[in-house]
Amino acid sequence: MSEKVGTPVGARLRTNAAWIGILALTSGFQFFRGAPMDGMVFGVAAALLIGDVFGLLSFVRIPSPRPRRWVSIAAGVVLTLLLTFLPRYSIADGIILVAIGLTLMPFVWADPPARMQEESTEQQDATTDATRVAIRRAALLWSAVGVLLCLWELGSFFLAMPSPAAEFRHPPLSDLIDPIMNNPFGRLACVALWLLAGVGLLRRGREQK
Amino acid sequence: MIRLITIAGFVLCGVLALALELMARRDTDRIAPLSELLDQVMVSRAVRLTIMVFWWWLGWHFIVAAPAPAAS
Repeated sequence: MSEKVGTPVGARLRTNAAWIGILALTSGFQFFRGAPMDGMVFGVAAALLIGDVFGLLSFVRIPSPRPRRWVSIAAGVVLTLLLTFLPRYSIADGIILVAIGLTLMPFVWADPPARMQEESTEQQDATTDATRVAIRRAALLWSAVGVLLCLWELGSFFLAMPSPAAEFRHPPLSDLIDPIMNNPFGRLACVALWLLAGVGLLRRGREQK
Repeated sequence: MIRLITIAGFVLCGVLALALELMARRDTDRIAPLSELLDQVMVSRAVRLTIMVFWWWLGWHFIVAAPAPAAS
């Protein structure tokens, strides 16, 4: 899965085109819905991937950071409390979210250590055809659920546009989650879940069983 | 009624995701569990960046970005 340094541009483009497309499409939609800041975030991510495909960012060599477990736990607890008890939509919340994004960037950009990549390649070599089929099937089914959710949200968004009455009939997901987020206990649970999901996602592909 | 159908659509997506993961855990030879799928795909920088940007944006959207005023 990981692109080796010597992989030709064409092959890298073929591998990454779908992901660049998803980010670019999302960026365009965010601009359309009047959220330019959100659009810029997805746009910058797409641009970074394009730069990576063409080798324009090959000078950026980030070693995979390995934070101590207690630092991650302490940071998680502090961030959960701050994001729960600071006023929602405040500038402080914005600064914290930007700081989280920037702090995690090296973790996201850095490829897994060479040892793990070798293990991953060995694992892929040892993977049976049945396992490959099971993984492909899982990828297709999860993509289908994801696309269904996106289409339903998109449909609600457009149907809700004409008036507040239409918005009541076709509430987007954010309207449904808002009451939970406006309750301190609900927000605590959502923030903790969001942070845990982020940590869990970052560990994937790096810590092989 | 239409509101309920809209909400039911979102609930259905959650139920489908849950059912998919349960099915995968019951028979890993047929469908790989989500963790195994992520272990395979997150090795790629493009996938890592895309998924993590979407994750970050969820936090931004629900915690920081105030909703636009309703259309009149």
